[in-house]
Amino acid sequence: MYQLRKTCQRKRMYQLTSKLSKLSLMLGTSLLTLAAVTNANAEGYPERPIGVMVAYGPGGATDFQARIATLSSALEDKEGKPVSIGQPIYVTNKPGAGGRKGWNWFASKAPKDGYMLAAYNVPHFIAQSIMFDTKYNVDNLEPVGNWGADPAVLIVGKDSEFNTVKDLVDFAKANPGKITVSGAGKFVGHHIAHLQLAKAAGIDIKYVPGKGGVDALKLVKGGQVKAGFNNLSDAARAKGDIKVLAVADNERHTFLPDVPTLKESGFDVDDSSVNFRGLMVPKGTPPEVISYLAKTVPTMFNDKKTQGKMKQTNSPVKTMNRDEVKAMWAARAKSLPVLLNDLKK
Amino acid sequence: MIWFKSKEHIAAIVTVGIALLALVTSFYKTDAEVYLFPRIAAIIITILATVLIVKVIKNTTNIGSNFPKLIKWKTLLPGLAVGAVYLFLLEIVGFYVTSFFAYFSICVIYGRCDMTNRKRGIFKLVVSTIFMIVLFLLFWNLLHVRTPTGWLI
Amino acid sequence: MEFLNYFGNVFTIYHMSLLIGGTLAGLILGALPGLSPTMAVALMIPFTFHMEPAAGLILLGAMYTATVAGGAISAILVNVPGAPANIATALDGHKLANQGRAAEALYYCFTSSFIGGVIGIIVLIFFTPPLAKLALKFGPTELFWIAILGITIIGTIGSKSVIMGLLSGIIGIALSTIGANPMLGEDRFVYTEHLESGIHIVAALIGLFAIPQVLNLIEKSRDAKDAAVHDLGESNVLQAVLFNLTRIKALSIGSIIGVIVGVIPGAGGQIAGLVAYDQAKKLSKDPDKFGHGEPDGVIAAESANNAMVGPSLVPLLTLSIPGSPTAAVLLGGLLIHGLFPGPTLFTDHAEVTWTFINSLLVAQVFMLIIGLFLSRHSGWIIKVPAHFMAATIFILAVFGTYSIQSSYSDVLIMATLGVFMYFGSKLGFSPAPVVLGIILGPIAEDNFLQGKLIGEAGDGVFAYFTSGVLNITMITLVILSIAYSAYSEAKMNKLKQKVLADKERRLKNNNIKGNNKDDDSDNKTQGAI
Repeated sequence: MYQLRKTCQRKRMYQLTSKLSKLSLMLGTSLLTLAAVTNANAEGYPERPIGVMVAYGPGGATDFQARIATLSSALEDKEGKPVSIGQPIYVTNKPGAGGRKGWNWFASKAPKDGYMLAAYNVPHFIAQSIMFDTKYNVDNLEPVGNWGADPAVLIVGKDSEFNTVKDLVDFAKANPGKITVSGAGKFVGHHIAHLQLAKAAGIDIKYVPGKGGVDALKLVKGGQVKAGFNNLSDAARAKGDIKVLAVADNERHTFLPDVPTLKESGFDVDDSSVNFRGLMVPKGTPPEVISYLAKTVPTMFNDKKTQGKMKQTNSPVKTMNRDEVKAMWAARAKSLPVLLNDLKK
Repeated sequence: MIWFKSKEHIAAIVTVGIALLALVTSFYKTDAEVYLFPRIAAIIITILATVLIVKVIKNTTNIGSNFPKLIKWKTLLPGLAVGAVYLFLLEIVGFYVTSFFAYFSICVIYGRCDMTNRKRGIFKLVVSTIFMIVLFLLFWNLLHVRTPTGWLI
Repeated sequence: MEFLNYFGNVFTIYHMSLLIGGTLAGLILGALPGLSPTMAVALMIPFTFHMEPAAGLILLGAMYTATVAGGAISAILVNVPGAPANIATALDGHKLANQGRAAEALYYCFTSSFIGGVIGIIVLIFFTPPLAKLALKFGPTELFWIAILGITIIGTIGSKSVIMGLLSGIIGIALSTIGANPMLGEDRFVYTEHLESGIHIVAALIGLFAIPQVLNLIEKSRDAKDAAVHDLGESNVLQAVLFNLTRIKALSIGSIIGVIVGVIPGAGGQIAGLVAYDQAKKLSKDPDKFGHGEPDGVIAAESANNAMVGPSLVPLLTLSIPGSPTAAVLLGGLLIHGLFPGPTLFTDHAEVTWTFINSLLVAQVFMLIIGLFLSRHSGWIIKVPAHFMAATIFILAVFGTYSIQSSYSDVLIMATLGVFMYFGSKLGFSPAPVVLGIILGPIAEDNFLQGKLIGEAGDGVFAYFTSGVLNITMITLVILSIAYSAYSEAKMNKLKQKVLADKERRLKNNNIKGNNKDDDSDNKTQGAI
């Protein structure tokens, strides 16, 4: 800081004695060089830091997982060769309108040169693109890798009268419309799971959207709602205050090995509501950039330190490559409209 | 113009305008369930506007000719123009370059001395440059806020 | 007294330098218009990534307390609150600065921040378990009534006339409904894509306060006579601190309200200062002095702001439910280090947790010392020529607004609101109630709609909103608040009539002579409508 001040002082002395025109010329060139450094054209991608847009606020699960997942992007091996992407990654948050703001910006305005990626949340963004007039959909975005999968779990308060899914469904059958189920918001995985359960069990239960997963969990803990769908990772952490009745996935999860799936409990609910998180680029990005990212991004996710941090923060991981993610997106794009049809009217 | 006797009168008129705007936007061609709260707000605004009008009419006192000039348009307009151009170019040209010019323009236009005073001009240029450097170090380097770069930076 | 065992951890050289650095940086960042505590903490989280858990949390905690207090510096000196929490500080603090008592106001601000802060942390240390239970009891209905309670004080905050204040507040609520409906997700009033995500509270705060200030500055810049530059004012630190300590009433009102508001989960933390200011005004012997440079106003507001910090961590640390927007961001900071809020935090991670809480206590001391020091040396800010000041505030407002959520739309909204507010302020509207409306609107709406859904599934909406001890307490408070407002309004009217009668009598006595003077008194009574 001291040095900087000193140079500034010297600069000022010099500038005061020089002519105005000379000064502005100098200034112009220095600004231009600055611009040139940050705006240089891409050749031999990647040659400068890469951004990741997160459509939610800082501190949320998607945000901090994105930060951990991209932690080792600039890692080099012993010979100084990049292990994965080879450039540092920074995170930019563009929250608003339940993620729509950020993804709209990404699909329409983000640079298509591979220097701006975005984190996706499936099924959330696909469901939104079906229900609303959005600028994004599965066709104008290209996935490059998946780092996590967080299934929705059905939870009730610690003192709840329900101990199994069957208790809850029986009660709902006897008292239609009397069961309230909280979730993180409209059209997120929790909402999808809620719709699937209501359909599979043939019951009338009410969905109460919260302001994010934390708020939805609070409603369950405080007893304001009778049940809730929430993130498996958050529920596993809050084991003391709640009871976890079932997992909305095809298999049991290692975090909660004792909790049965909804299928085991007798309700035909698949993994449509599982919250997949990963990275994508907008369509129109050069194919060589996409293939470079598709190759390096999963390697980055599988880094030892990253995986350790993920484990430490209780974040369920699932690394998938571009082709697997593409198949998963296509499957969701087919199954979700059917589920959401009743809501659309 | 019997109405504009005091700023309370103007305030009342403006309030009526706001109330009308709120009523139209929240009731015309909108869904009752989605617009529940905006509608409640619009109705309360209308009630308050009515009360304000009644109070103003009741308290009409003639301040007469020495009605104060509220806004000095002549001084204000150049500043508003700089602001508007600045905001328009912000994302297109780049945050730091436009901000530098906006800062410098405001300093030059509203400086207390003559605009053609070269010595003061250089001083203002130096201050603007230092301010922008500090801003760049703070936001770009320290806080890692990535502003849109546009054409330049 | 378990926490005493871990005090040693705070006093390592590394942790101390983090504390001092975090406090200094927090005070300066907080003082910049446009950088709120929530943002400062959010921007700092990536830095703590590679630190030890305890070190990272110490840095975040120090930033949190310091930015809350730092926001008062700009509120007092340039009438631009650094965060929603500092609005109440600006109301009387800037008036004090205009009277040439800026240094004094700053000393009050840091002394009461310190006292409030320490009380808040002590509550956090000793009363966490019972308060956590209380926090869970606040469901949608209780929060809805809190928002309504907040609305009842809108009219008396910062404006001369109750009706104009209420009107500004409701306009704020109407503005807050722009964007997606919280329950149905349908867009409202989205005429351009810039309104898609609604109006962010901090963007609105910056626009409503900073832009009118910029325009006022450039308006005055040309007439050299009007541009009276005030000094920081001569004031003895010790004297100011001692005077502050004698204002026990304002301090206790502030601290108690700060603690209560902090514990309540939801966005409530932002209104602690305003509620405390309102109560201090209502309970004061001289309510008329408030708004004209009353030290008690600054003391109550600032002690409440910092008393809120500790208790807002109670629901966060025990239930992972944040008590304020900044605490919500802090949750991310905890999770990154694998510290999961809950009972295990105080058993498995006792060392880190207690070191963090103890460091908050030590941070208060540093905040006081560094804050008082900065106050003494911030006089140059007032002496900056108007044109430099205007340009600096304007550009900082733009950058600050952009960095909230990297949104160009927010910058446009900020500037538009600001220009409207400038014209509005010429007509007698004031920004504080509008901001309060924008804060309270979503709390009222979200919780009403959530409560309605839950009520419909249960015994009916009306019954759900009016049953339970907490709900009834809240409703009683709402009624009391309205009754008090009506009572003081009636008192005002009587006073006004008396003034009018006096005027008539004088008119008869003086005939034409006193015309000009009457106009003056008339203006004042009109202002008090």
